[in-house]
Amino acid sequence: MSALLELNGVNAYYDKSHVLQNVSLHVDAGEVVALLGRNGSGRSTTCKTVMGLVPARTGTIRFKDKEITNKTPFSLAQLGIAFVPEDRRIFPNLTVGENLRLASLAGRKGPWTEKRIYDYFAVLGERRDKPAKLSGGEQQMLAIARALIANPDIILLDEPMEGLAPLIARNVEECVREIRAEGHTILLVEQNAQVAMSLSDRGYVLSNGRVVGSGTIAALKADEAMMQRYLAV
Amino acid sequence: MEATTREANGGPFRTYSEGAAIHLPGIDALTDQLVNGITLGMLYILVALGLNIILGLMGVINFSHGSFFMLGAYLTYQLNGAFKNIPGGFWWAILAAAVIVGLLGMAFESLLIRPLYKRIPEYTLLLTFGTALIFAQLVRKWWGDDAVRVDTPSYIPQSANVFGLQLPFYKDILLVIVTIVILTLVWLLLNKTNIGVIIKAGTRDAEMVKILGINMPLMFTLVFGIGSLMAGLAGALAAPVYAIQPNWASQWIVLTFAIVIVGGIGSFWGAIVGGLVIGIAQSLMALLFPPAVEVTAFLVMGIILLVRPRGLFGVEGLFE
Repeated sequence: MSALLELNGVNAYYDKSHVLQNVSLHVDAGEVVALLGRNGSGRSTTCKTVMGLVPARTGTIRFKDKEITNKTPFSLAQLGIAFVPEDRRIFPNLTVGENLRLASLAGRKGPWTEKRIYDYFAVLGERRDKPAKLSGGEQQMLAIARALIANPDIILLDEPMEGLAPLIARNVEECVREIRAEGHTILLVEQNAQVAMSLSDRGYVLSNGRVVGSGTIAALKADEAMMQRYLAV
Repeated sequence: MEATTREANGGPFRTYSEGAAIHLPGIDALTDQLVNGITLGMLYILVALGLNIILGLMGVINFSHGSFFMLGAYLTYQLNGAFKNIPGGFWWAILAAAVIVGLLGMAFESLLIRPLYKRIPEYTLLLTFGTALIFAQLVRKWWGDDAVRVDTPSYIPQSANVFGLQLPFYKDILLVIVTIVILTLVWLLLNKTNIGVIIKAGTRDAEMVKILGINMPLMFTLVFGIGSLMAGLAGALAAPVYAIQPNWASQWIVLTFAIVIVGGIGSFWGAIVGGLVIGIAQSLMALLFPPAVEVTAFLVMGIILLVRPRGLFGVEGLFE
């Protein structure tokens, strides 16, 4: 069976700087795959390139056996890719309910209904009709809920715990763990390598825009030299 | 002076007298000008709201917006003549003019503006400034340099008595009612429909709306069409009130930007309050100190900007 999402020799640039260099990776259905590496290693850019926000100059991206390289973000979302960006990008001028409704407009029918979202994320249910001026943790919950309500085939989760107080970060981590247990496919970018690895089946290590290591989490952990060099753990 | 003489001046700038002295108005003249200001404000609101939605959602500084207003008036003039044997032809002319301008706006956006989104905003500003000049020349070529007039049909009464005031029926009553109905519809569209949710979200972060799977290019075309339709409709409604001239576009576009700035970019209520404030301020200035009428809008704009740099209802983060 071929992979759900597959990047093959992808090169991307910010102006003249070569931010993704020949990146190849794949995510199978039902897997959680971590993108590991330091800041600026190209992990977030990988998500943005998949989502059509940063153009891939060469290389191909395939999703569900179709080539999707450089398609528009809205058509990729409609194909079943959800992207939760690192700055969450909640619409503060909409209510919590409107934020979710917007995400469900182009989404598909599936196990995540509005009712289930509110049952699952109680804090969102309480604030349904209130403006989405939320704390960092609540914003992240809403950002994740916004991805789920579209019932996507894969979620690109970019730095979900970034900038959150430790206790709140643990709540979000727990939430990701539960979503994983539901069988969702996730491509996870997470700064904290320990947390990322505890949530994932496999991982890719990036450095300066290149994939420098990959494998199951156990295999990655066993390679102490690489862990030291690229992840400083 | 009689109302008809004032209206014949054409355009929104009507004055009571040519003298430069400050007049002490009587209460009748004051009320009269206040009503005039509200009527003018209604048209300003329609044009400004259209411009504001386009500016807020798409970041397009559309200098051709005044041209769409002018085209709405000229098309009404043309169609009113063509429809004169059709029952209700006057109203069909207004409606058709507005719809044609809306469709023109959609074509304008998808053919000319869309290729420029990836460039800096100044490109669309220059483009729409250029097309405004083209529209003005086309109008001169087609309809001539002289003002044209649209007469309201004879079944519309000349005037009516409201709270003891004898008011021109079309200009001060019908036009105000029609505008309020349209504003209510636009409010419902923005606040009670999914399109409204998309527009509101898009004014903050259009890219994130795309990430959620919404076809924003299509949305942009639709919104540009709605905004242009509102300008066209305002022009159509204004056609029977003022003498229609090719310089309408340039007069109105500058005023409209002043109104949007006074009200605040991206704000529905800002366009309404801004339109009324400027309309009333101009009309009162016409009474108190006629030579200053043409600078009134900019005086108001300057004062508001000193106190509130984002305008009365401006939102943080838009166009900054």
